[in-house]
Amino acid sequence: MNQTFEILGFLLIVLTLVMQWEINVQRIIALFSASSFVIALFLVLLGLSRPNEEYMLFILAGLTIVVRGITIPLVMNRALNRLNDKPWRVREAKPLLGVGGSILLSLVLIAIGYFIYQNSLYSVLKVKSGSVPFALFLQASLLIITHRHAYIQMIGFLVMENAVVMLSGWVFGGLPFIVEAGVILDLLGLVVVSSLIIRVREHSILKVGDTVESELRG
Amino acid sequence: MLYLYSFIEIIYVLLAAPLIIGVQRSLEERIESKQGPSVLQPYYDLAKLFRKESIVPQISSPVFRFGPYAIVMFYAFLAMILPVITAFPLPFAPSADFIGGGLFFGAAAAIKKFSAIDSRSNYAHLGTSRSASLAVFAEPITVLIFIMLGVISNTNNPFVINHVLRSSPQWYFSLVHGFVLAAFFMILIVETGQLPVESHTNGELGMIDQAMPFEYTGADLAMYKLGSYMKTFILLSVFLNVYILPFGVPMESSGFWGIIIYMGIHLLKLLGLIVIFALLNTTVSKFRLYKNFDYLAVAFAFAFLASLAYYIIK
Amino acid sequence: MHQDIIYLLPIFFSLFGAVLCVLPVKYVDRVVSVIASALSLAVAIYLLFQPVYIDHYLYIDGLSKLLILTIALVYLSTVLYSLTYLKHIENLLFQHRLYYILLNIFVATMFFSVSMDNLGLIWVGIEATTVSSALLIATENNQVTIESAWRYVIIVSTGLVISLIAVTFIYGSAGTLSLHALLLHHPDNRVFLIGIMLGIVGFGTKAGIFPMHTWLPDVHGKAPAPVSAIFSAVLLPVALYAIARLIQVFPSETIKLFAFVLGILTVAVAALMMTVQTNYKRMFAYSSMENMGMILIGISLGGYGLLGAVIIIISHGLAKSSVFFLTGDVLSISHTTDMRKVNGLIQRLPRAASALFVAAMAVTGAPPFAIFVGELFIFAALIAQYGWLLALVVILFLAIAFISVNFKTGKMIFTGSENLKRERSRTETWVAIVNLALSFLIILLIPYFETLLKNLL
Repeated sequence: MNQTFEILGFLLIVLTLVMQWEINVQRIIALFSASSFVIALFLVLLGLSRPNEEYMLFILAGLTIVVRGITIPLVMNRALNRLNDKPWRVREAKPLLGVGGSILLSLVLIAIGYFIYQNSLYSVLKVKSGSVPFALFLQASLLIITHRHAYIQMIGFLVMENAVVMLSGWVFGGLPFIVEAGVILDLLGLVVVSSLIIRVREHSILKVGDTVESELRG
Repeated sequence: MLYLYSFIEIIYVLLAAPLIIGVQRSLEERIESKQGPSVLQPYYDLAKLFRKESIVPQISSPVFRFGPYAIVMFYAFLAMILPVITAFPLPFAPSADFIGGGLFFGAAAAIKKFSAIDSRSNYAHLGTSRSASLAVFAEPITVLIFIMLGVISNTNNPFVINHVLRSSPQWYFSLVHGFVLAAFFMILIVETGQLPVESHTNGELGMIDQAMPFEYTGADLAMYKLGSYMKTFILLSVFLNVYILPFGVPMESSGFWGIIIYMGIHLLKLLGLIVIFALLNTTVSKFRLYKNFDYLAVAFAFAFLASLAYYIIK
Repeated sequence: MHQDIIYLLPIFFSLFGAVLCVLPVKYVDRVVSVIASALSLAVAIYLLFQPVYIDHYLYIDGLSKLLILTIALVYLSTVLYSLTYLKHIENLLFQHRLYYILLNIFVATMFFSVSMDNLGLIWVGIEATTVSSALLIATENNQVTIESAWRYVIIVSTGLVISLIAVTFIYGSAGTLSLHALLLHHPDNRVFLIGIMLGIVGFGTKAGIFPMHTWLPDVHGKAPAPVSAIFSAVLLPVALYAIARLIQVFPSETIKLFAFVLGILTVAVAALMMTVQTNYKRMFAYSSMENMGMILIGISLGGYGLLGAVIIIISHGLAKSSVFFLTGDVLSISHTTDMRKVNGLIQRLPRAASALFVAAMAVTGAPPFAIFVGELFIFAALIAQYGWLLALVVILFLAIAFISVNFKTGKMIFTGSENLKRERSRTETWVAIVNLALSFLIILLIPYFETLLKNLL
């Protein structure tokens, strides 16, 4: 079972790696949707491996598919469509890192996640290959830092959440259902609110030009 | 007997290499609903070229003449030391391990470049510089891939790697192997000049290997072409026999007929891979020249992920 | 009727207020919000005299009650202040109705966060405050407010993910997230320790604690006055409440030292940043950050330090909301947040200006006010535990903050030529003055706070 988890974990890492160098926003949203499905699959497998833990994990997997896999991408895509005439052309205008640079940095982060985990947490947690969720977390933060486009930052945050779900399931055996459900509801609210903010923000950027950075310094 | 096998192996590679290319060309045209050339067209080309006179640029040196012959020699040697039709080492195999084989490939590529530069043609220079700049990034990835397999099998011997992978499913189905496969497949596309990297047209904006033999004619060109066919054939064979389908490659106990039968099976395996390449070549569009480096970065990512996966999962 | 219903009433009133605001009657949103906030305040005061209540979902002890009281006080004053202030904002992003709905939900999530027993649900509540308050920042629709709202969402959510990891660690090592269970029995291993530390960093993001404080000045500088007020006065302490609970669960020396160092760094950074500010709202935002640093120091010290921290939470909540209300008045006559372009306030708005002068003294810890008393408690504990030298360093930073805030505020109020026209004074200024007076009167209740918090001291 652990090997299956490893394969899923690396699948998520590769998906995040692709998000890292992809600049087309719609494709990034699709990739996020795919990674949410992987998370749901992970939860189902977790539920199968622990038959005594009732059916909560299956409900959680269903919620994950409905909210993270379908609704959130749908909300984002609709906001994107409303904002642009050609939503398929929306992209990160000036990527901070090229494809090569972002890949190298991601790989370095995965290695760093591994070394940190191995040297500090492994002796306590005793979970083999538990560094995968940490690597995912670091990659997601890289995604937020290196991108300016609001949607991509938002997706970076959501990937981070996915990493936490994976961490809690894999390393600790999951959070209580009520907490997980609350987290998912929060996420949904957050996406709706930030889609609104993003919409207004893009409007004002279109109207005024570049962002006013000087008033937000110091 | 082992020497006989070596001899058979060289003859097999020499004879079958153009066939594979012919099948691929024909298949690509068929996929695009065209008539397409005969499967045997590369043989006809070679036969025609061998009968023709070679013309040499006035200002070139002997390197230009001897280059193609040296290349074919190198690849014939490689055919003897790598597992093409046998899963046990033949008499020349101990002369080089996997990294040594990689170095021979590199040496052949270097000779190719020297002889192309020696033609003093602008196009050949263009192709050489492009090919060299890609190789600078592709070679380390190849080395990394070999090292990862060395880590799995504790050796650099391709025959041992074949044994390890066919006998231990926990390695064959491991993430390390998966990532190595992905990286090696991407490198294969670069080395054999398939589509996302290089197209088979003579458009000067995109051509890489196509540009290098521009000044060759007659028998020289035939040798040159034969060399590149052999390179493709040997690389694909190694990919199939060592990495992706290590099963069924004959051991010493299979005997003479076992090896003869395996030749047919091997051609079928190659055919499968060729179908994939043909599909790629007819569906994917070419990258811009500078995007090739991004492509190589992705290949590097897979190779590096393989090593990370090895340590993380260990 | 169950006994525990009474403890849920503040959440219920504010949520119900949000729902009722939808009714299509003119001014219904305002009336309902005032009633809901007044009722919450009444319940909050009533709760003070109720026994401590702990079950599987609620954990309401003295600390929770005092936070509920603070939230309710600031809630009522914010609603009252918004009634007239919203009229001065041109270019609203949405209708008044939505503003009140969001405000009520926002307050409900804060009530929720401070009364839950489950650490995971506390996290959910605090994340929900982010969701409900993000749009409030952008009430005044312009590019800068939208940008700062976006930064708020992304930085705070990312920081809170760290505390979600912390919750995971705690659950993984202890097998429960319930506060009362953790207080009775908690594991003493490194996973738990790391979990608590990550939690302090993560919730610290929301409270404006040092490493991830950058959103705080942006938001406070650009949000409309009542929103800045409620953010600074209660949202930050609610996040600190979570930290206080974490430290209460596992009061090991490492954790305390860690929180203490973060607190000192926060005070230092805030004090130094205050000296170079030219935007008065940002300056007061850094002043909030400095106070949060002091509260964190108090929480980390425990004992009477914690009492001092709670005193600062309440009095700072009242005084800082008063300050931000008054800056709202200043902003609406001067139309700029640049303090170099504002002068002669004492002639233009005499009542608001004198109140602002006193309020600035109050939030920086000038002697007669309750924040000063709270700081005294904290310093007493600080000197007892870490000695004079460290206390002197902290006092130095507080002095820097005191001087820069009061010097700059004084300059805005008292400089300027003699013949400035006196502007029409506003009724909402009285809200600020009442809050200021309350923050002074808190002193009288300190002995009572001590009895309320005696299980923690």
